[in-house]
Amino acid sequence: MTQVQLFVTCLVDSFFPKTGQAIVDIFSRLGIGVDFAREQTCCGQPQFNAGLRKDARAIAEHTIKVFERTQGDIVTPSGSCAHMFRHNYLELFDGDPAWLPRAKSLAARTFEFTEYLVDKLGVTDLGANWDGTLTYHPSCHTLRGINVDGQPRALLANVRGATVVELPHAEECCGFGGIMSVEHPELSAEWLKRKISNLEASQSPTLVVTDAGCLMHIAGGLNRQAKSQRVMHIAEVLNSL
Amino acid sequence: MNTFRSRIRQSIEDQTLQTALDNNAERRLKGRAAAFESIPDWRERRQRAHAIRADVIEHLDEYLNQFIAKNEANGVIVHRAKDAAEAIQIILGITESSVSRRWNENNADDGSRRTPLLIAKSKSMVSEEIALNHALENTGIRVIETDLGEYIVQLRHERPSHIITPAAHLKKEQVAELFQEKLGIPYTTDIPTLTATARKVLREVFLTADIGFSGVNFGVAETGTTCIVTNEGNGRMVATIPPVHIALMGMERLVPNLENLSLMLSLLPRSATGQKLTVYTQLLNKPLPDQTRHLIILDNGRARLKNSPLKESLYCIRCGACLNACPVFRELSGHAYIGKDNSIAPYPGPIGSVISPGLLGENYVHLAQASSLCGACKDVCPVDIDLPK
Repeated sequence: MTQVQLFVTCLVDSFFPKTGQAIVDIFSRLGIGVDFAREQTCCGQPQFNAGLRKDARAIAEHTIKVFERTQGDIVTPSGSCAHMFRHNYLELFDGDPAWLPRAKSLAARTFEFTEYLVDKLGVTDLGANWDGTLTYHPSCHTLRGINVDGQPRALLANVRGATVVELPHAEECCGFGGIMSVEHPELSAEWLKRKISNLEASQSPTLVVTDAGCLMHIAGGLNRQAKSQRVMHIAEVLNSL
Repeated sequence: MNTFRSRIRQSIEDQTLQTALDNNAERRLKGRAAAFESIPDWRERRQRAHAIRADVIEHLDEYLNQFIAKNEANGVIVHRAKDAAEAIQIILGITESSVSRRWNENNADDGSRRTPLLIAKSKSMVSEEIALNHALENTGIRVIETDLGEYIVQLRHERPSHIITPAAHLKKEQVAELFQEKLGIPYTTDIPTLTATARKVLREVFLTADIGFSGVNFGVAETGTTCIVTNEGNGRMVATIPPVHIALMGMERLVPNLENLSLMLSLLPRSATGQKLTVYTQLLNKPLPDQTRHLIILDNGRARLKNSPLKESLYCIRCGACLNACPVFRELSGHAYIGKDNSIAPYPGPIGSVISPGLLGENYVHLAQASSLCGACKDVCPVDIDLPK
């Protein structure tokens, strides 16, 4: 049986284990085994974004070593972690003849979840069902960072019973920005306001995302404003039968 | 950092500003998208433009030498200024010789030599970088901005809030009030009326200025050509009517040849204002017969940037698209990009958060942290600069 390696991401691991579970279920139905290297940690993005390159590098070295002990493609439910592996790790090890090739090997095996399903497995229909309207928010790193957009949309288009509507100004940042929500909460909150008002304009009760950071941020905002819309990770929608 | 934060809050709470900024972003992003439809190969153009600018920066000294030699052969007086102070000294030197010239031309003691020197200025962000107007006005020289947006902010005693559209932070009601107060016309938000009023005032300025001052959008190394683009024709006026023309240029603003210039001009107006071409595009070579032209080439930290990890930021062609796409700029507007000393950074937005600290130092370094790394800036950059990086 083919196997993939799951890079679960710190946010999914800590806050949204159901998303991780949904991914395992989906792969299982596709006849693909999911292996999980237990020593994996956060990919190091917060440190990298904060300019703490030495710390980020230490985490990157650990991550590379962990996955070198495994085989098969690495799949992650996060465009930003995939971006971290494929772009920022290469920057961290730029000019390092020992580590750069190892970072490149890791990058070459890493895929964002929807990207893997559509581009690698050629699957756009998972037999999912969803009774209701859905709208999709592309996270900055998924859309602009790794150029993944058609894939999640194709998967959503095949969800039976679902009406997929466009989110106005979908490509605008939700405001999470990783550490920016911590460093500049006022700015972050303004963009969240705009994202939520665009969600309301879409008239969809459910927002679908590929990244847990956006999920947390938008869901948190909806919760505090006592609004009824909810945010789902795409894996959970695609696992809905 | 605390003042920066309170400045951020101030911008967010200013509803008039927020409306103006939303309008600006909507209009400019739509305009840009529409304009780019007419060049379906824009991705390739962008890559080529990036490569051309990279080549220029890599071999900057050679291209500069070529550009300078051609200019001198054309009769342009070329100066090199290593920093802001030196640039200002050079400019003041030129103004002094203009004063002497005017004295010599007016034999009668009719007091005309006592009227202050008048400089008609077309838009130049690099002149903001060196705080030129302030320095000139301190010596009693009158400087009038002739770009309508710059003229408006000058009347308000403000800095430009955007590198292309200086008054983007204002709504037309505010301009109406301003013109009523400063130019004595009845309150009106009718844009043709406001524009015609400014035109009348500025006409006088063009016709009577002792010196015309401009920036340089691109210098063409092969021919020594100075290219200036404007929508209002003020660039043309200041570069041809007064007896002296001073052009101030950041030393990185070169392209190798005219064909490259044509590529850049297919990208710059589309990115900046959603136009296929600006209304006026000037290619200046020799000065006019009775005219003296001075070209001042400014370093002010660019040589240092060239040899740093921020080198790519020198590829910028100053289109302002990154400002229009940036969610941070959209909340703040240019005036909120302040340094630790509370001074407003000369360049705001994504490019500004890199080159303001890059050129001018520590004072502005926290601006680089005011980003969610969303990548919208990189997406719209016509020269494909990796600003998030």
